[in-house]
Amino acid sequence: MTGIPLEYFLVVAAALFVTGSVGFLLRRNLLVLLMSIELMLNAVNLTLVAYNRFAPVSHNGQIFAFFVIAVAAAEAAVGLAIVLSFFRVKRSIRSDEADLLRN
Amino acid sequence: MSGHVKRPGIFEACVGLTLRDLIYDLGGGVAGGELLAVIPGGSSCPILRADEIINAPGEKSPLHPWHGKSVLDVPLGVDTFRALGTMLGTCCAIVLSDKADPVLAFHNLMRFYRHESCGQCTPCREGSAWILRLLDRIVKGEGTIEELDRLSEVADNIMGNTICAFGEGTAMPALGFLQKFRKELEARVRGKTKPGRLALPGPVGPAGRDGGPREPPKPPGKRRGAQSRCGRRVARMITLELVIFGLAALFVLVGGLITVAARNPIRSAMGLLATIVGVAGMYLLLSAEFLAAVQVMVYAGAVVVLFLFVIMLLGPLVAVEPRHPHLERPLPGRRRLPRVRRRRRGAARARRRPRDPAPRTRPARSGRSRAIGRELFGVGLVPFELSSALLLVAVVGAVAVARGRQPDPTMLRDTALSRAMAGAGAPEPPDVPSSTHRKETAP
Repeated sequence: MTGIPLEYFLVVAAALFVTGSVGFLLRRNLLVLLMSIELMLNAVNLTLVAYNRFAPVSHNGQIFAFFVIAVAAAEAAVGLAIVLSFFRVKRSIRSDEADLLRN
Repeated sequence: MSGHVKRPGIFEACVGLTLRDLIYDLGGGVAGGELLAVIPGGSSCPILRADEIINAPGEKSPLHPWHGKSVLDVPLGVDTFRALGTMLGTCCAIVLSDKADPVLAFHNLMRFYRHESCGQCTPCREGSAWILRLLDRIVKGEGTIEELDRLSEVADNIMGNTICAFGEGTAMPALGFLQKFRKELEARVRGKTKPGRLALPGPVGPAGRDGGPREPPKPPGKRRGAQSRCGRRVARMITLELVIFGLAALFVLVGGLITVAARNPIRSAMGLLATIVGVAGMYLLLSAEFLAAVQVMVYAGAVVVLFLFVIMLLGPLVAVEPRHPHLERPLPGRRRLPRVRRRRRGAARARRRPRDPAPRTRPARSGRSRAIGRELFGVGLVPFELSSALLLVAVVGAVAVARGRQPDPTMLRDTALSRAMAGAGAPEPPDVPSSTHRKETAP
């Protein structure tokens, strides 16, 4: 239905990806790190779906995005479980305190 | 051979001739302009553009010997043309010059099929008429991009659903034109081009073989007026879509910024929610309705709620994290942003309702979701089932990890191990409940 050029979607997706990666690199809160990963996955999905509009019959991009959403859900579940168990050990969720394997 | 060639006619040749030989040697070259495209095997075969380059890096592909060359250099044959996505069919090549209008050529073909459909099977009878009606609008400049997408859905629904091959004969050229001339069709829909002509002056056609009277350009004045009116309507629709797009982009970007910059993880989660809703809006704009629904259900319904659960479980200890000067400082005007956004969204909704009452996306929605469902449970069945296995593994793993392999002394307070651990590490007596334990160790 859209008359909006593809580039607009790509620019928004790129900006979102950059936001997510900056958050992932700069923040120390494990929860925010996981959310930043979700942001990046969303940006990738947006790119996939935007490109898929230009394939007249195929829906491969949308289907791939569907699988990415499934993987993101699994990642969130496992990641949050890891955060919980990390919190149980360290009483903190700061990522720079995750140094149990350092000697 | 017919169409815009200097010497149309019937030629007898061996298999192995290339399209270039056929058009330029036997046909004497393109009449009036350069070669734009050619339908190699009669009008029910998908069209080939002259500027297509073959991409067949695989050794096993029948097209591999011509990898990187033009499609015009491929010898005519069953295997090679099947690999090109078209057919030799009845070998009646139809040549299209670049001075002619491909949109009009498409319309002409579909008018033929609409007229010829016998009407026994519904998909073909109705589909060919629908295609023609949509193309009528597109040729006149009244079409929309959504109708362009619907054309491929209609054609896709004819394929394989009719008794005889006439239905495929209608759908295949339609899909071919939609794929190869998408740009030209979109330009016409946006009102960037005007209808050109199909019959060219020159040695072909009824206009006379020796440069006789030139054909007048097709659109008379009446049509031009209609086109400008519709052009304005299309322009207004595009600006409306741009407004919706801008709102969705605002949601996405501001939500993303809040997610990474907020000190309080709950605010981060709310920012993530805004981003997710914005992305879902963009999916709707891209006519991916199914994915938009999945996005809202899985992300907003499951992932964000899971984040909130974990934040609540961790308690006030981690709610505000004080020690990050680089991202700590509130951005200028950050607090005001969400409120402004909400007000604007309400205004846009109020504006959108009265002006845009027609459910323009309804047919497209069901068709698209059905197509995705078919693909998901057809070709993608194994990955789909694998993803359910993945989710199961993730759930089991999450439970296992969250329970923890390292025993908590407060949980195992009766065993010898817990007594040993309590003696070694934990300072408090084992009877203290875990909540007070947390508060004591809080910094």
